[in-house]
Amino acid sequence: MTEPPMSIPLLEVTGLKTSFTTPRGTVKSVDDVSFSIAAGKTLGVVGESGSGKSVTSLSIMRLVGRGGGVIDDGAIRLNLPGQPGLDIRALDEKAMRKVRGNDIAMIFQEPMTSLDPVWSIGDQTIEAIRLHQDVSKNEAREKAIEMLRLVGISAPESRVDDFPHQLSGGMRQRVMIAIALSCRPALLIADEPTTALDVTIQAQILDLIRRLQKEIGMSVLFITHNLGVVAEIADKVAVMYAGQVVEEGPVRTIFSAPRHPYTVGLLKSIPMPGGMRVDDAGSRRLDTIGGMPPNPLALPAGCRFAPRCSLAIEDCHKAPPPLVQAGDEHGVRCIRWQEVSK
Amino acid sequence: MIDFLLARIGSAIVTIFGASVLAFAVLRAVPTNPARLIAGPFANDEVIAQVTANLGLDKSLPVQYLDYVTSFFIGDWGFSYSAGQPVLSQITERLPASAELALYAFLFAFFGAVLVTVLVSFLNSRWLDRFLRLLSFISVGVPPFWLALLFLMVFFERLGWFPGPVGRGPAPTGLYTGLFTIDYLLAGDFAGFGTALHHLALPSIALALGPFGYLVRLLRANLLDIINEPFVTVLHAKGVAPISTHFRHILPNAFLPTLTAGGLILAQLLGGSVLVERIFVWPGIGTLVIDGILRQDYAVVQAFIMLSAIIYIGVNLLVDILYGYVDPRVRRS
Amino acid sequence: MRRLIAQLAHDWELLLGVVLFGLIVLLAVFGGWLWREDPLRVDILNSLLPPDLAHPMGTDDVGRDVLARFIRGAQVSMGVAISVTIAGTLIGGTLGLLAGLIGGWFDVVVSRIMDAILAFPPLILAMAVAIGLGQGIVSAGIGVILAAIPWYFRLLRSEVLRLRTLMYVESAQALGASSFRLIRLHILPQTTSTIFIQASSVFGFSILTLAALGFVGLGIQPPTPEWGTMITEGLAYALTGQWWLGFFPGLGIFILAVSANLIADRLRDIYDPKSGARLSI
Repeated sequence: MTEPPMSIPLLEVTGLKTSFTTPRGTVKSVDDVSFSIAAGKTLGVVGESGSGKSVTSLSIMRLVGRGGGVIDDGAIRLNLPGQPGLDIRALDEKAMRKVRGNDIAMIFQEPMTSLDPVWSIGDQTIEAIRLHQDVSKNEAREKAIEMLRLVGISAPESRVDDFPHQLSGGMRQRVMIAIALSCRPALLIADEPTTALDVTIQAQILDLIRRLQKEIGMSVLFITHNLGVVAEIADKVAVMYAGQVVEEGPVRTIFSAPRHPYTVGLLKSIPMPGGMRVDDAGSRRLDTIGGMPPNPLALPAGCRFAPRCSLAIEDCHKAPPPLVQAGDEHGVRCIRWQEVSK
Repeated sequence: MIDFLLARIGSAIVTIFGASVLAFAVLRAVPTNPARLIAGPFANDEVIAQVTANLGLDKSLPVQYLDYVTSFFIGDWGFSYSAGQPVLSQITERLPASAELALYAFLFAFFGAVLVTVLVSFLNSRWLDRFLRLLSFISVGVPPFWLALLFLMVFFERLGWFPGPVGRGPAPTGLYTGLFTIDYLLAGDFAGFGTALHHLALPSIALALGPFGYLVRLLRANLLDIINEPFVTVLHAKGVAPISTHFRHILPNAFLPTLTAGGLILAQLLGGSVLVERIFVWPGIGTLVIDGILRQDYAVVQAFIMLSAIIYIGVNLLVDILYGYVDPRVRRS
Repeated sequence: MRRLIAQLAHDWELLLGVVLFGLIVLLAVFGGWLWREDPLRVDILNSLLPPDLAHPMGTDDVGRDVLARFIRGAQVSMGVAISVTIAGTLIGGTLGLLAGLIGGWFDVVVSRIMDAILAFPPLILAMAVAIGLGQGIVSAGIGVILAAIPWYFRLLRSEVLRLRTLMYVESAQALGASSFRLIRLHILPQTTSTIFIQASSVFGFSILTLAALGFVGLGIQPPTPEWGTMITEGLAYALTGQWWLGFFPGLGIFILAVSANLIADRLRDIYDPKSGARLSI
């Protein structure tokens, strides 16, 4: 496989702003978000619901319009190996449809409702294959069976004609993955793919994604609210809060030396298995994050986390903090990051 | 699949039994003397006594019910005193006229509603959608017989575009099906076909408008439900074109309730033609039934009521089976 | 209620429905007092007069004032439709509640009866009852009630079954709450809006079906004016230029049915946004 030079990431998102118009005002769901994903690597995007992580992924797919959203600003560049870079925002709808499902594929949170109930799973896989590849119906069917086998569905020759309601949630998510990967995309966006599944099934699906990522050599944008899952699968992490990336960096850095009070709070609020040094001093008051995320229609003037932050000082409420470099590849949006420790 | 069929047929038979008991209870077991009802207001005591005996009204209720049901199923539907004719031959004679009217009304209502609603939802225009909603309310609320009257006043009397209240128009020479349009087509007479359609247009549209509005509301609501389903987002993420998403995925998912309702509407239209036939002097069952009511000659009306229920249940059953064939979730559960 | 009034301000469809409905209600209540013509007074010399100031809706074939008959017709139609709706709600609703609460054989028997009723097209069923009980407005009304009962029955029965499975009702029952308490405290408050929405739909259905029965000769008996019967009476003159005989009563039916349906649909969207597909007529 020819890999692009390491200096050019597969996906570059710069200054992305996406808003939704509601009857009560404009909601800036994504506000100046930047990140990049290197080829073959995994970026985990973490945040509470409403933090803008799903809207970010839908923006990359240019699917926010269905919900009444608009991409206001920013650049989304897709650098496929051996091809000139694609400016996603500038593509016309037809060219964008060629990107969707082919170069960038997506799997979603709800396997129970993500499949068309009146199409067989085989037909839904075949549909994806024939949209992007010039193959006959029979060839597509063979490929579909092969994909179903690849995602661990036993006896795919007979199950290919099953309908979604005949499968369990875990099986349906496998089918979703088969459909998403049937065209060997360069980037897989996984939007909380394990949240709706039982714990035992979650681990299987994560394993599957990791295995197929290696096989296909694709990058993964993994969206979740679960830091534990991120620790397992991601190379880099971006923590989102109220539409912004508040901290980003390599997964080890984020877990061992978080510099944003929100990240620290998230880490404290979940029981983590060993491997982390626990520093008792001064950390008790951050055990749970008090308060609620801000109303998206009335965001605070200063730091968006300040109202819930135990370290907030007067300056925090005055101006929005810039994203500053706290270390190698480690960015943090907090003016007191040097005082933050676990 | 066999189990599914048997279950549906079994439940249809139970319903027919229930409906026949209900019809019997309402029409025969009421306090008013059914013999007087059947014989009419001008009958003397002798006639009434004879009718009482003919009807077996001196027997016990269960026996009467059995008589009632068996005579209905062997085609002995009574005798129309005012027409001097058995009810069965009266009804079979006039059935094609009503069936043709109901059929065209159904075609207008069903395909009109599906076409308009799917198109409007695909175009995704706020204004078109509002207009369609309002149109559906108007359609559902308009009394068909009043609309028929307005149609005649405007399109016949004022504008002269359509024939007046003269029924079906000239009959084709060879009657095979009894449906004029089809018989003309079979005879290769396209001018005659046009004439038959011309006569059908106003009454069938007047009859179709209510069901049209109902189907628009139903399909529109179902389409909106499906459009907001997560799997539609997934389809977009796969790169499926909107037109394909709409017509190959959303429509089949949203269509099943409309299909069910469509079947029931076809069955209802057969009975509902009572409301417009008279205005267009249409020689169908509806006119027969109203004449029966006005002359208090109820044998025809009773047969019509039971027949309507059986057609209704039969169509219901067919739709159920069709439903199971189309929707994998029903078939296999 | 306050929510409803606030809703009226920016929901033009609901507003339209309420205004049109209110118009006919006002006409039915105050019309006879404002317009003092006798709807039954025959005046052969002034028959078939077109609408003018003396007779805003013209006169009919025996010289009766059509506006006065229209107003009386509004009273009759609204009165019967309201009674029918209330009776249907009470009977169908009670049966549904009982079937849901008692279950067992009662549920099976009543459900089967409802299936039998639903096996008839509603208009045909109403016709059958109207004939069986003898011509007249009461028989027609009973026919429409019978046709409307299964809708309430199914609605209430499924609501009760749904609410019963919810934890709080189950625990209330475990605590020994009587069925009556259960209905009053837990089930009725939850279902009032649904019942009201259903009632608006049924009202529209009653207006149309009663008029249809009147049209085929099964409604109120002459000379009392009723909108459906008035259309039948106007038939003979429709194509000789005297359009007003049949036009105005039909307009009345149309306005009432459309406004009732509009109100029902808007209320459904406001109170029960997820059941957009549940249509009854």
